[in-house]
Amino acid sequence: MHSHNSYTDSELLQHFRKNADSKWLGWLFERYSLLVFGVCMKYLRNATDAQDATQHVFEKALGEVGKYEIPYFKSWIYSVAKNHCLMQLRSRSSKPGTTDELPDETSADLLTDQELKMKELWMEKQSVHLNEALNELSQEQKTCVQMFYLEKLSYHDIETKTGFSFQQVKSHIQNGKRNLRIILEKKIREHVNQ
Amino acid sequence: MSTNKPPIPQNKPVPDNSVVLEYLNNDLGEEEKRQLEEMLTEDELLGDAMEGLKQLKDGKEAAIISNQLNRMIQEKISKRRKIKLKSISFPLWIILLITTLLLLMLAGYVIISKLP
Repeated sequence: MHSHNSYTDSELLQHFRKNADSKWLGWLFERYSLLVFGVCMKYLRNATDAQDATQHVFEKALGEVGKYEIPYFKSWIYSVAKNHCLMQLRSRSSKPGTTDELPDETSADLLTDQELKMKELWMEKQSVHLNEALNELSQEQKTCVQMFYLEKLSYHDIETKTGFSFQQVKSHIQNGKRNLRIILEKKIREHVNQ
Repeated sequence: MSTNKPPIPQNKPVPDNSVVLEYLNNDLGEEEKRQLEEMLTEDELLGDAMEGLKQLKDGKEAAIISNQLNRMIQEKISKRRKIKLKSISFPLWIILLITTLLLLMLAGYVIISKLP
């Protein structure tokens, strides 16, 4: 007997379409309920607003999952949640007397798998360049990346040692890792051109 | 410097809600915590979600909200099921009425045709 946790998102959606049984949809939605709430909480910074937004997101999902094929439910629900929150923030900021700021927008990773593999291979062989690249990061990013990846510290330990908040640690690690990739990619190109 | 965020890994499953709640309560083992934190740096959805959930008091508050949300989802889904059942029962009712009327007309015709 399968536990519903063992089904992928696509399998749950397929079963829902095939049998028109909402229990499959319930399992899929419950899988994402807390995470969608977390995303809404990040943008709206208020638990009640975030709960309302989460409710709206799943109402929309309920109306749309049967209408067309959703190949990647995870990215789809994330986009729906994020767009809903950004619209809420825009409508708030357009009202006089409000000071909510829109968070920085994100953009997609432009590197292909092949490029990443090439870099990983290159990184293994050229650890000297990795140290050089680390030194080109901002001090905060360098500290967090070193602590997380080299010293294997947890987020909580990094927060304690640096005094950064969870959000700052996460952001420094994510951005530091991304910038490290960009710097190393530049170095690969220079290395190839030489 | 770029501040681009990592993309969402399409095929990687998200951690179970119970694991997320244990992480928020600092109840996860070292290895599981490490795995989850590595996922945080790779997965934009999970990273954003955890950043938002960290704004709550603790994992207990998150657990209460999680239960409320799941109840809400089940209610919405069961309401939708009822609406669907209603929409199915309406045409069935009409079909039954029409069939009965047709049978009555047929019986009437047979009776009248047999009269001398």
